Amino acid sequence: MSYMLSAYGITVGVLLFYGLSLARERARRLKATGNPSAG
Amino acid sequence: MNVALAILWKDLVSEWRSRDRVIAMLLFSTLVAVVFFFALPGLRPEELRALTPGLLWTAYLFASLLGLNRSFALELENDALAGLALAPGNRGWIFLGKATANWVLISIVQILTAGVFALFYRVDLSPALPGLAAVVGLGTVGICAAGTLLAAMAVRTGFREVLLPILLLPALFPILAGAVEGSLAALAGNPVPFNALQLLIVIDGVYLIVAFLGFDYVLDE
Amino acid sequence: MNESKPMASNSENSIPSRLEAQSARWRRPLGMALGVLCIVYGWAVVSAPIDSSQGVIQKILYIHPPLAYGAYLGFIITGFAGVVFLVRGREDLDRLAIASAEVGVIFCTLMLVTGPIWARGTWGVWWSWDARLTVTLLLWFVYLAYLLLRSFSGRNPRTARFAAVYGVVGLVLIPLNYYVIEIFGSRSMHPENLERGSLGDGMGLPFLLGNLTLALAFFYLVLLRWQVESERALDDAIDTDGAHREGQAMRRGQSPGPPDAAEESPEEMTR
Repeated sequence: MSYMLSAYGITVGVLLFYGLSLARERARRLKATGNPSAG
Repeated sequence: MNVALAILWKDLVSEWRSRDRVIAMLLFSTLVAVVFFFALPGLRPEELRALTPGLLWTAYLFASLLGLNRSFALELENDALAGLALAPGNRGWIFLGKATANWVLISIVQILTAGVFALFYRVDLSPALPGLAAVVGLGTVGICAAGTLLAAMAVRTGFREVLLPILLLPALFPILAGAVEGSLAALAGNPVPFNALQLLIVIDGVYLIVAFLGFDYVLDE
Repeated sequence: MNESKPMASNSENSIPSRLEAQSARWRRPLGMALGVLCIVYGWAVVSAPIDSSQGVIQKILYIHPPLAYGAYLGFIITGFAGVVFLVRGREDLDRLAIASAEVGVIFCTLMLVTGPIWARGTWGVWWSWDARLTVTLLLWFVYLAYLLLRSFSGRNPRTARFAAVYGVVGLVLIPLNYYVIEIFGSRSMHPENLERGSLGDGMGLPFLLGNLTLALAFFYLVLLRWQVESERALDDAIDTDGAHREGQAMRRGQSPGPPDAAEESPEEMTR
C-alpha cells in the first residue's frame, strides 16, 4: 500500500510543484510590471 | 572531397610530427588495462579471458574519448576554427576529413592496445584476428562519426572535457552492445554473428549521415 | 535600432510568435479539462478492483505506463522542433524544444522512480536490465546531456543550434536503442499483459483515464513552460535593448538616462 501511495504521491507532487513554480514565475513578472511580457 | 583529403592529410601529418595524441591514448589504455588487473583480483585465467572483450572495449571507449577531446583542441588553441569554417564547399567534408583522421589514429591505438591486453591477460588473439578487426573497425567508424561531431560542439562550450563524455557515451551504447557481442564471438573462435555486424553497419550509416549534415550547423560561425 | 515589436504577434520571429500566441490560448481550457479529469481519474483509481495476485500495488499500472507518453513524446517534440529551428530559423520552435525537454525529463524521471517502486513491490528487486527500463534509462541520459549542454553554454544562438543538432542525435538513438536491446536479448520482467484486451475486468477505465490525464498534463505543462520561455526571451531582448540604449547614450557623451529602459512600456519601445 505504501509503495503505491508513494508512487502516486511523488508523481502528483512533482508535477504540481513544477507547474506551480512556473505559475509563480509568471505571477511575479505580472506583478512587477503589470504586463505579463515585460521584465 | 578535396577538402576532406586535405584535412585528413593535415591532421595525420601534424600527428606524425608530434605523436602526442597517439602516445597519450596508448599510455592511457595501458594504464586502464592495469587498473582492470587491480580492480578484478582473484580471477582465474579463463574468467579473465571471458571478460576480455568487454574490458578491451571499455579501454577503447575511454581512450577514444581522450583522443576525440583533443581533435579540435589544436584548432581552438590556434584560433583556426573560423578559418576552417570558411573552407569552400559543404562543411560536411571537413567532418569527413577530421573523422577519418580520428579513425586512423584511434585504430592504431586500438591495435596496440589489443597487443597489450593479449600480453597482460594471456589471450591468444591470432585466431580471432579477422573477425575482431572487422568488428573493431566498424565500431570505431561509429565512435568517430558521433565523436567528431560532438567534440566539435563540446570544444566550443564550457566544461568541454566533461561535456564530451556526457554527450557521447549515450550515443555509443548501441555500438558497444554490438561490438562486444561481435568481439565475444570472434574471440571464441566463432564467426561473427551477422546481426551484430548488421547493427554496427546501420549505426555507422546513420551516424555518418547525421554528422555530415549536422556539421554545417556546428561549425557555423 | 529597436526592431523587435514585443507586443505584435504577427511575425514568426517576434516574441511571442504567432504560433506561440495561438498555442497559449489553448492553455486555459486545457487546464480546466485537466482539473476535472484529475478528479475523475482519482476516483477511478481508488475504486478500481484490487488485483488478486499483485495486490494494491498493481494500481501503479494506472500511473507508470502513462508517464511514458510524456517521456518519449517530450523528446520527439524536442528533436523535431529543433530540426525546424535549424532549417528554418524559427526561434519560437527552439523555445518549444526547451520546454518539451524540461517537461519530458520530468516525466522520464518519474517513470524511473515509479518503475522501480513497482518492481520492488512485485518482483522484489529495485532494478532489472530489461528492455523497457534500460531504454528509458538511456533516454534519461540523453535528456540530461541535452539539458546540460544547454546550461553549460549559456543562452545564445549557438547553444540553440548545438542543442538542436544533439536533439537529432538523441532522436535517432531512441529507436536504435530499442532495436539493440531487442536483438541482444532482454531478460524481461516487464508484464506483457498491458495490451487492452488482456487487462482484467474493471481495469480498462482507470487505465484509459490515466493515459488521458497524464497526456493532458504533459501538454498543459509544455504549453505553460513554452509561454514562460517566451517571456524569459522577451526579458532578454528588452534587457539587451536597454543596455544597447545606455551604450549609445554614453557614446554620444550623454548621461545614460533612466537606468531601467526595461520599465518603459513595450509600446514606447517600438519608437
